[in-house]
Amino acid sequence: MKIKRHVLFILLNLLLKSHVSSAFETNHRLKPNSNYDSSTLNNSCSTMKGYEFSYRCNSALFPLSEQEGIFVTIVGKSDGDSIENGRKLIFDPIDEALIRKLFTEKNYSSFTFNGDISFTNSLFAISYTPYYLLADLYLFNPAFPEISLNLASYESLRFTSGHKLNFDSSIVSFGYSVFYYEYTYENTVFSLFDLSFQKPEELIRFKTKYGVAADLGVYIESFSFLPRISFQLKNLNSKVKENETHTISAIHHSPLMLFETYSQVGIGKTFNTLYGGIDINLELPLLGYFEEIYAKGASIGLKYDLRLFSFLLGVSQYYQSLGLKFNSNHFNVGISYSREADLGKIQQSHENAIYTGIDISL
Amino acid sequence: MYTMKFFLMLVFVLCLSCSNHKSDKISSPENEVILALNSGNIELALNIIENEERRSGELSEKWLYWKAQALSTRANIDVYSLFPIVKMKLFEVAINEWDDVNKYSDKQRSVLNSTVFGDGTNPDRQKFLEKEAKRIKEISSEEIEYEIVSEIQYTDSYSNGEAFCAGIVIIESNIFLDGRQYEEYRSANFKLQNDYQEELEKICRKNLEGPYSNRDIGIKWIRDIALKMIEKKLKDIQERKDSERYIKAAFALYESVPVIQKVPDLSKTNLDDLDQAFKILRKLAKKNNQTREVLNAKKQLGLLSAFLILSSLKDSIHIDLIKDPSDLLCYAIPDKLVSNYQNLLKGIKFLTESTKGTEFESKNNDKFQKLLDAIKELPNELNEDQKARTIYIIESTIKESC
Repeated sequence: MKIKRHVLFILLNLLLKSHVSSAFETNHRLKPNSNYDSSTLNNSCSTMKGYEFSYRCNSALFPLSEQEGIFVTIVGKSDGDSIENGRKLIFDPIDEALIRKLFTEKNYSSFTFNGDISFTNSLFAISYTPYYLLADLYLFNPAFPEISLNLASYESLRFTSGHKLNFDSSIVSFGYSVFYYEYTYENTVFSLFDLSFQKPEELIRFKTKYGVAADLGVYIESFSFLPRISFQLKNLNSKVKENETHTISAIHHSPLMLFETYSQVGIGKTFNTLYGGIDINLELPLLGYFEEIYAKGASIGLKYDLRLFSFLLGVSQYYQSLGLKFNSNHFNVGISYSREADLGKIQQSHENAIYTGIDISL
Repeated sequence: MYTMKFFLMLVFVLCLSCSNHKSDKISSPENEVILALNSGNIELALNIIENEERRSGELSEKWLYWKAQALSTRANIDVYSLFPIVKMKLFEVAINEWDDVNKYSDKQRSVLNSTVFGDGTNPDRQKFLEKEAKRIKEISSEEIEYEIVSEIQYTDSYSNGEAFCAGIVIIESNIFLDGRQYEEYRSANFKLQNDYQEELEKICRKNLEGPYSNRDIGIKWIRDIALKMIEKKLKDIQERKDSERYIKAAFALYESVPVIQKVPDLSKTNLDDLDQAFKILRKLAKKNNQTREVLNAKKQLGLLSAFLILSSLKDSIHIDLIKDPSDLLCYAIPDKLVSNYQNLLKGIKFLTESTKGTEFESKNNDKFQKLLDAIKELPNELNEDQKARTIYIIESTIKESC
């Protein structure tokens, strides 16, 4: 009965509020609390139970996992066009060819990194993320070049737990993740002219927001042919709003579905084969409190687990990634090749990137 | 059973959410202009701006700014063509050495400052002299001491009892600059009672030293002499400053030759589009608000003005032959200098306009005003007579000096 009321509440909340989007919305595959697996799967993993990373995708999967121990996780972009451009800009002599390339083809560069340490037992998990780093740079207007820069650092201390309910033909699991966060950011635009005459601390002035937020999740599994379902609310009570410091602005860009409140619905299924299981998950992100489907963000994740190795595939309209992970008792390492367009159809060309991730069990 | 119900509810929820695709809306016109500018599709950018003008009647600050960008790009002035100027300032220092970038720009700024206005080589000396002049004006007569010595250099006496002598009067005083002596050549005609040499010399000295012998008159003259000494010294300093300024300007121009060589040719620039861009940028730069468009317009006005000056100079000098600062004159092309006079003048005028309201202007307010007054006196256009005369002067100077 209580569950019915909650779902009814969600239905009633479907006020189709207009979504005022900034002209440059950026998506990022690597989100806070991600690890290599979840980012390679394009975060389409909210019904993939039983893995070390499962509760990162959906806190409702925590009661269904059996991992215990201390883990260190590091994942980030290790190579790609953004990194190559950054390296050339900083270390190599700049020539006209590079500048022309930057404006016509590669005018957007992005860098993300996540590192955390977590302690997990059967009752709860505590994780500390000292660094989730994000840097987006967009170069525009060759007549008087300007840089739209978005920098963010997200530090958090997270407590995750949950409960499961067994029924005759189904399992329903609830999970929650409460976390304290410190969000340091700057979203600014300045010209190359300013860059040559002013110090960076005059151009980039970080601001900080502190707060407590939560992720809520529900997972429903049936023992029948029906797929598994999940519902999630992310960043509940977050002080970070979409389009934070400005209204519609064509020259600023702001990340979507990273720090502000948003929702997710997942549908998944597992297929067992002779040589391992295949998990497939369809993830549908929604803006706000299940207000509107963000169709561009819909994604399919596929994981083929062969015990020692895992193959991961994540496909969405603007992100396609393929990864291989080596699994052992204490050390997992993965590498993935990704084709991505954070700016969506606005981005002039896809970026080819390589992500590397390490999970260490202490 | 529960699972089936949840599944049906999920389908219902998704269907309702799917009915609105506002997040997939077409991007804004401003966004499209930015994309068009980035990809070099200027005609598309201008079409979008024209549509906006038709829609709203008058372009807002933001849209005027984008129009100026599109026109500037169509005039062939963009980061690629201005790259040598931008590179000189920015990219020669690694981005991770921010302090060095600032030191580099500070040095260039102080050179520019002293080149344009001439800070002089001895500012302390100048202050001292001004202070000294004030002291001399205010010092009381009792405090002034002086001593007169005369050196007779020539004497002559005539049979009619008249005599003539000439010599130098040397005055020393405690109010003369740096303890200097004042020398004055004087001569006198006088009558002799007796034709004795001794008497002749005595009367001669009396006549030569005459005005200074009377203390009241002498004090006034001594004070005037002291002030004139200081005035001359101040004038010397000013003349030295002017010479140093011209030398520094010549050196600055000589050092800029590698940059000037890479600036696009004026012939490849669409001057009509550039004029239109200037018009819009000047209109924006005159506004008092501190919006991004207004602030950028001022900076871009300075950058484009610098381009106009440098490209005009490039067109007016055989820049590839310059090996020495003196070659700047010797390889000047007189008729080109004259034909580019308007572009040069425009560039200088707009450059001074772009510095209005900046820290640079506030620190050099009085000198800035002198520069603006000097520019105002220049004719907007040279008539045929002025052109011919200017060409003649340049050609003559080249012939004499090179």
